Amino acid sequence: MPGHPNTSTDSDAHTGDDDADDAADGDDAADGDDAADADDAADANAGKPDATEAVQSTVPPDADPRRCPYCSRPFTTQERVDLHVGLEHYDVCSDAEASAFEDAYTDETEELRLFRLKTTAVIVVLYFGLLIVYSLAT
Amino acid sequence: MSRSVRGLLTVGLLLAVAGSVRAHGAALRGASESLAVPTWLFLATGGAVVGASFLLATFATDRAFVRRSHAAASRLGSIPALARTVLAPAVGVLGLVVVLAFGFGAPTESIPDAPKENLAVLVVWVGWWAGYVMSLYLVGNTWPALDPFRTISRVLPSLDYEYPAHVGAWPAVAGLLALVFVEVAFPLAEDPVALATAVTGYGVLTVAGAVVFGVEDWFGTADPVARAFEHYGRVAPLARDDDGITLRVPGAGLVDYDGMDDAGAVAFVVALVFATTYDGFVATPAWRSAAEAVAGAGVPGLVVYLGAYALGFLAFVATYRIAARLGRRTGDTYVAVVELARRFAPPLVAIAAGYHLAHYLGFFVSLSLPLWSALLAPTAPPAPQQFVLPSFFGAVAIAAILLGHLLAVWVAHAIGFETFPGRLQAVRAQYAFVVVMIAYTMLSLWIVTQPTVTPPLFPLL
Repeated sequence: MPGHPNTSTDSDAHTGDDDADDAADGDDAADGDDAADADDAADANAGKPDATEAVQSTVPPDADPRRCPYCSRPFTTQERVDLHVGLEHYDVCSDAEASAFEDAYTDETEELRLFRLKTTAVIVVLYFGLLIVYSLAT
Repeated sequence: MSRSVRGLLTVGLLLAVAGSVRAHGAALRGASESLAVPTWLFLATGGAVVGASFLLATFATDRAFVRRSHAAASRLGSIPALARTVLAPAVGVLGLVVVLAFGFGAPTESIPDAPKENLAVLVVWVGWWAGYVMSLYLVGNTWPALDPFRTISRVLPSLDYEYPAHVGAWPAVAGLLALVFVEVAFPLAEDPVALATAVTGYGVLTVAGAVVFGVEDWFGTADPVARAFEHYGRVAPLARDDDGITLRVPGAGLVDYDGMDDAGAVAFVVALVFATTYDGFVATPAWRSAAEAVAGAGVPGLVVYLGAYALGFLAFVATYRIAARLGRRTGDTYVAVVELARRFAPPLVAIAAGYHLAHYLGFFVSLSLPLWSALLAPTAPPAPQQFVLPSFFGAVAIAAILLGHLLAVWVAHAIGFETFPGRLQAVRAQYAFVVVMIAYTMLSLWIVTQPTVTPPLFPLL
């Protein structure tokens, strides 16, 4: 929906020098792996077929959205804007935005580790729970 | 651990779950006769399988890996133009002529009119609706080349009125609901003349629509059959475009689906899932006792069927809409509810395909024998015989339903990653959709494990 104030359009055509990026990531001993992950994630979106598709958004009247500086798609937090910019506008974003993206991606990876632990716990409970129910019911 | 190894491990885990699911299903199916696993426990297990596979899919958080899982594709050769533009249309038109001739010709003495001997009935229900439709989601969508009504419309002059954009896919929704209801409510599988009449009615409307609005607009948007088959083709590993054939991961065509333009397109997918469910539901003993109770109170049969149909469809649409609404909340996002509904609709097609396979694979295999007999001797087929299905076929049906849902879970996961910048956010936005999928798995499993009875209250008119 072109012209809609709350509609944003994602576009990207990632053409960065990947080898140089990777080498730079390698120098960073602390979070080199995660940063490389982030770089890969940005690469993963390069040339995707639906890149120009608009994401229709609606913002509640009392909300204070953070917006993408490139496509003005609204987000609830600044971290999501950072992630979005790195994923969708990596080829045009500034160095500061690229490093904000890598930080946000690394932080998110930490969060995901905790989530995986919880997921594992649920699967274990589900499995043994069913096992016990089977032993009682049959 | 390298990313590709992690990726492989995740796929391996998912496959292991799928494998044990199938084994589990088989054991349960066998057990339900000897060990008597209660139905509720069997259904709970099916739901747990879908829930657990969603939890396992959340382990795949590598964006590059998730993208590769649906973006990977390789080019195969192309189909000879002659096969596409001459052979396939000729086969389609020949099929239509056969259906009309043997349908309307059934009252004459030279054509058998018993359903399992009449070529029109066998070609439509066994050959086309069961067998051919399976080829759509297992191999690829060949219907645009084969569709006899498209072929006829192509040679007719077009009035080229502009297709009203605001109407969108709604004519296809109405058409699909009407077609399925006619199929359920009228004896199209028993009466060759009724079948040929229905085919003619659909054909006249379709060709008229294509003549008025143009072939591409009509078959691309408003024709329910072409639309449903195009959806099924997206599940398939093969896809054809102007450059040739592409081989891709099954279901990958559903991830980058740009065909969900409006609310009608979403309602169509919901209708596709609902229609297959309703078709199976009216043959369950539960429906029989409920329908007979309502009819006992003096309600006409047609009203009972139509009422349940309308209420069921509205309930499905409302459930999906609520799931999209909840997804916006759990995903903590400003993405519009209609946009979420639009984006997460394609996985439902995988579910519908799995359900179709569960429902019709056994039907197709057992009745393929009379189909062949009738094809070889159309006017004097031998007394109908059919293949007796081995007892493990019940497990195949269960496995098909679960596989459809597992595919849907993975497709939804990939779509979540495409839609949201946060990976955890993508997972959280799917919670409500997964709950709906679990509920639907249990409903589907319940239907296919029920004994099939003749639907009550017939004839409806």
